[in-house]
Amino acid sequence: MADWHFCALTDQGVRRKHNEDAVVAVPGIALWAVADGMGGHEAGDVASRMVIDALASVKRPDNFSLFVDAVEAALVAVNAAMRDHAGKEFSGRTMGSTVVAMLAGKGYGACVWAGDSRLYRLREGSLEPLSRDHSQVQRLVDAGVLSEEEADSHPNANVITRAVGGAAALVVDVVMFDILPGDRFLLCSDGLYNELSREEITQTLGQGGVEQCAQSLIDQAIHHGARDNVSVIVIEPEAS
Amino acid sequence: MKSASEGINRDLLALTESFAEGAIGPAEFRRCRRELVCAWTGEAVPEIDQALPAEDDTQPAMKPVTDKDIEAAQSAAQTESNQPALATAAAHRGHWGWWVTGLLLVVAAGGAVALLWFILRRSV
Repeated sequence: MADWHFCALTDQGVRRKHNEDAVVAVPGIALWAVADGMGGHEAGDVASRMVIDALASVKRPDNFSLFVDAVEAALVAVNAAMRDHAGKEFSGRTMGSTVVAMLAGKGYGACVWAGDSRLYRLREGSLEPLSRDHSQVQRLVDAGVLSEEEADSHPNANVITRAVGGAAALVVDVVMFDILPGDRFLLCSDGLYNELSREEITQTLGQGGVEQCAQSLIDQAIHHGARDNVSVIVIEPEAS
Repeated sequence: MKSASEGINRDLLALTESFAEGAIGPAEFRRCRRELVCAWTGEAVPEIDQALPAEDDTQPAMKPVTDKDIEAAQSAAQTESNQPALATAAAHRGHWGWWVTGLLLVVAAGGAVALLWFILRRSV
């Protein structure tokens, strides 16, 4: 397995009183994830923390397909635990979390996600989204009703159709991608891409080391007003 | 999701959609996904017993077992196993009763005979 440079940061932003985002980096098994909690204080932050704790305890089998299974199983288990917790502690109040996780192998990786937190890959100056939002607006984009640019500014852009804790049965999506030397990956919550344009993300992601890059993304989101919590993880394979 | 991964990702997303809609079961879904992922990574498809025991093994139609069910089963088993012991103890008590009664009768009869012999000997 390759070695990795990475930097994970989360910030409550300018307008929110609490941070309901959470991040996790487990470089020993090449797993990174961002979770964006929903439900307000002591629900949203607990939800995202439950997701992150579950992923942090995943054991990596030798076979990559079983690694994907293990991550999915952890999320399915936390989905049940979260719904149970919400029923007992919040009597039906909404409690849930998005999740986007990057799993890496030798020259390839997988993205596992539910909701609208995203994974991007920057390759040769071009930013490519690897995840596809589980949202009403994304459905309209898939149906050809909206363009990607129109979707970003759509009033229902924040309405998601899938989340951990959102339904009795959680179904996560999985996609595969290749990893080349020089690639840089960005996991982020919607607090980032709702504040920064794709051009700004592309430009910032391509500059400096991973620490400087992650801090710069957070700083720019705050400079733009950061209406939501902001979380980023910048990852790149170590040059061998 | 372009380039070399476009084909596999189209298949993975379609597979997940089939699973979400209930067109395929969890065991088949995960087996197919393992095959797709292994075809991409170049790894051998793992044997099924290597795979994680997920909810595939669950029988949804079975009644769930709770703590109360376990306690009730243990209590019933304990009562059942205690019943023969109680019956045996009662049987033992019965045998001892007969022995004690017999012994007392023998002692009483012996005493009566001794008393009678003492009276008859003095009167003679």
